[in-house]
Amino acid sequence: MNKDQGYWKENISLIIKCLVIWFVVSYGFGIILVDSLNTIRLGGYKLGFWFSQQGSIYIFVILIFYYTFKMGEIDQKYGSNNDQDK
Amino acid sequence: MDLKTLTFLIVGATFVVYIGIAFWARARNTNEFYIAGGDIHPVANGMATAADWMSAASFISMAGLIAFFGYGGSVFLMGWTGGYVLLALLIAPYLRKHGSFTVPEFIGDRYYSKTARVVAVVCLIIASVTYVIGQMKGIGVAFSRFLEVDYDQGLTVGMAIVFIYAVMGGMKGITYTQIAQYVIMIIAYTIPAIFISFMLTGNPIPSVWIGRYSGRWFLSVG
Repeated sequence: MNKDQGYWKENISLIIKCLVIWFVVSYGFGIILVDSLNTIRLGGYKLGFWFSQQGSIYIFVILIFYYTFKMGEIDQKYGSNNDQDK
Repeated sequence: MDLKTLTFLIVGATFVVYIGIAFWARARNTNEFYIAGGDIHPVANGMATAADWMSAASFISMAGLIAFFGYGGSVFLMGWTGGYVLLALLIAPYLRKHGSFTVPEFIGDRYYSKTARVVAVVCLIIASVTYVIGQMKGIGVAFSRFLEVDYDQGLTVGMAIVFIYAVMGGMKGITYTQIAQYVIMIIAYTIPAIFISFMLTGNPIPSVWIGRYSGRWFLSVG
């Protein structure tokens, strides 16, 4: 496996990891599991309701920062020189 | 000075600021017109994007819709914020590395296909038209109330102002005016949110404390 393939493989696995979390917190916790999560209460909110109104959005923001940070590391590791930032 | 004069002065001043910024940051070449020269600082770009997120539609209608729909309104929140995750992970980095001006251009090159490019253009037009209808409705309502004229006239005046700074400034001008709008909107949103929360719950952070507020009409939590 050459350098480019390794770079691409790490890139794809990072994206898949992030999108799984993205799906689980919004569609999973916010819609599919909302009724069972609503039995738990957190600071006055039902947990399922909280995830769909606030929690998923906080996690989305964290996800974007995490992806950018990790992607920067991968770019650095493989010495990607096609990033226009440099 | 009565309230109306004050409103006109403040709103007028913000428009002068927007158009001034658009003139100062006007695009001087194709690169600046389409992608703002590609050298906007990430924080500045984030501010401009956030200004899109809380634009006319969210300001005027979505906030109210979500307050009344309760849980049902969550689809809008998750939908449009979740879309930013897809954009940041799947499109934006490659668009930048590829150096293309538009998304359809990138899609067409990526899949070596004119058909893919046409499909991307159609998707883009459907999405933009839907978005613009919402925004224009918001602009029309805001201007007709503010200038106390008919909806149609309000819409025309609002469109003219947007048209001036969009065409003159290109993406560069728009980005800088969006940053100014972000600063104004974040203040306009936060002050009432904090004070309403403080009056209802005695605590300034609405997102944490409104859940403990017992009034059931406010959010259909229970």
